[in-house]
Amino acid sequence: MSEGLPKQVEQMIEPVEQMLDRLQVGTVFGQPTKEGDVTLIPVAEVSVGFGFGYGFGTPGDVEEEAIAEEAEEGAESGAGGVGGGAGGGVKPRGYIRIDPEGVRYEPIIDESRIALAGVALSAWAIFWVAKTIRSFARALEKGK
Amino acid sequence: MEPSPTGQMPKRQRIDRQLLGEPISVGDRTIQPVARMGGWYGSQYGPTGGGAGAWLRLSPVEVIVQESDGSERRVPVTDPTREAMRAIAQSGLIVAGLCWLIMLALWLRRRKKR
Repeated sequence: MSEGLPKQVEQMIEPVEQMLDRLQVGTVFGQPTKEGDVTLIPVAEVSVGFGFGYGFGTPGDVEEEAIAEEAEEGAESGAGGVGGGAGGGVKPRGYIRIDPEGVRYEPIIDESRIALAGVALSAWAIFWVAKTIRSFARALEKGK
Repeated sequence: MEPSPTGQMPKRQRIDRQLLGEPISVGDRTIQPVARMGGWYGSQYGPTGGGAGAWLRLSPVEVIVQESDGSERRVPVTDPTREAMRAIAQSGLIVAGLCWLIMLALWLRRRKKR
């Protein structure tokens, strides 16, 4: 089993290499949609990720060769584990608008996310400014 | 790359490619989309364990517009949300850094007086 796993690890990478060749611009730029004089091309962002790992338990204070033997035995006796996970997502970014006036990009702005970040920034700034004022006041007090 | 404690060399590849799409004809204009593929993939294994992983992001970069008169221009595909988030994060770091510097100066002054 343990001899096969390194091979499996390399086999896991092969589809990624194949996927890289298959991914095209069409993955993020959609099909043009025409309505009257206006043509729209949707634009998105795609991200994918995966991880896979395996391991076998060994005593801490043994030589490397012994670790390999232990791992071999461990693999045969099933003292180990294998795990993996994958995820991905597509995020709309906006669209390309083509009309008689010209070609322009119309982005989708996540206003609520920006507003939340703004609130968090305000709280962060208040915290630091208050801390500085307190430190300043303490310095004045001790200076008297 | 550094060899792992088990002696196996990790195999890690960085991905950074620019992809050019097929030109699309819209009226008398030709539009060619451009995207960027970024990320990494790799694997590492030894006698006691191993693993493999990959992360990939395909993002739009721009469209190249060829007008009927032969002129060419580029329309960038920006991400205002990400730019705003980056600006907010930078502002936060600047505020914290400035306040920390003021507090450090006060502390040093107090220490000097002693």
